[in-house]
Amino acid sequence: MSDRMSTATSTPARNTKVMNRFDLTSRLVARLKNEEAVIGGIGNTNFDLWAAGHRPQNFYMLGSMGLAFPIALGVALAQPTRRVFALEGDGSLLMQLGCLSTIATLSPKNLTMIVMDNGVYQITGAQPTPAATVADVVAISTGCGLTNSAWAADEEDFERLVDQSLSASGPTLIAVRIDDKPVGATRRDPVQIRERFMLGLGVRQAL
Amino acid sequence: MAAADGQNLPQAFQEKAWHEVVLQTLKRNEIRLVPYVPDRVLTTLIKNIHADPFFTTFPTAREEEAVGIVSGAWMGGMRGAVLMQTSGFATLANVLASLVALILSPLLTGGKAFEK
Repeated sequence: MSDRMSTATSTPARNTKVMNRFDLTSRLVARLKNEEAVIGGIGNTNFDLWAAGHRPQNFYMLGSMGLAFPIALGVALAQPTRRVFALEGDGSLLMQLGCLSTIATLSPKNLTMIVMDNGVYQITGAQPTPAATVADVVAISTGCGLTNSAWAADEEDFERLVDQSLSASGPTLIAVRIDDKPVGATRRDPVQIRERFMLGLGVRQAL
Repeated sequence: MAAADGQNLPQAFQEKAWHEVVLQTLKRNEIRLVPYVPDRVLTTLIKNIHADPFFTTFPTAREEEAVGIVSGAWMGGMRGAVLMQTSGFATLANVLASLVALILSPLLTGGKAFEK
């Protein structure tokens, strides 16, 4: 436990408070008033999204680690008038760093990406990621061309960055340092998740 | 392209290059989103898709990234297809099993097509 926390606190992000992922997810969901789509990445990221209160516009990704941002990009391209949020873990993002430059190149105005960074693969036993003590998610993102990338200093700053992204002229990435406290699990029925999501996006009509 | 020899294709298709057939088939089926990781044999198709304003097309860093994008777009009501080479297809085992098969989204994959 002490090793785990020292890993989390030794990440290069400076002047950023270690926050709670479920609290941050709840704060995000509370600010969504316009049927915004939210893509929750694999593991605790979508467990938190489920626990924060199910919405028809939530998609809970149960497999395909690393694809929350690409899936969200697809939704954002298909529905350019809808705001799309994506929640992803730092370990997941490491699997698909290339997507950041793809998103920067396409530059969808309606996409906000949130990276939950605790420096560990929490769900598999909290092993440190290979980036934990050396890499800075925001520096990587900025280097990939996502100029609207920032660490949230604390909860209020997180809310401010979320609000700012709603009227941004390009994609936004918000990184948050989080603790390692999980909250539960998402009900796992992928076809139902997908069908509800498509209903929530207005692509399917209810029977 | 199973019918690379043209034996079983309709008359109109036999007079066209394979990449024209693919492009027109994508259009006829309202498939607008075409992310790709290029292959040399796909060069003409990619060039023509870029030149046609009907399509939204762009390269991705990896093939599974492209599959994620078209899966998201399909759930959002936009059809897509991914272009890749066979070695790229070989990297897709996990995403096909844990995203495409899991949520039962339709996916069209094109293997390597050979010029006659």
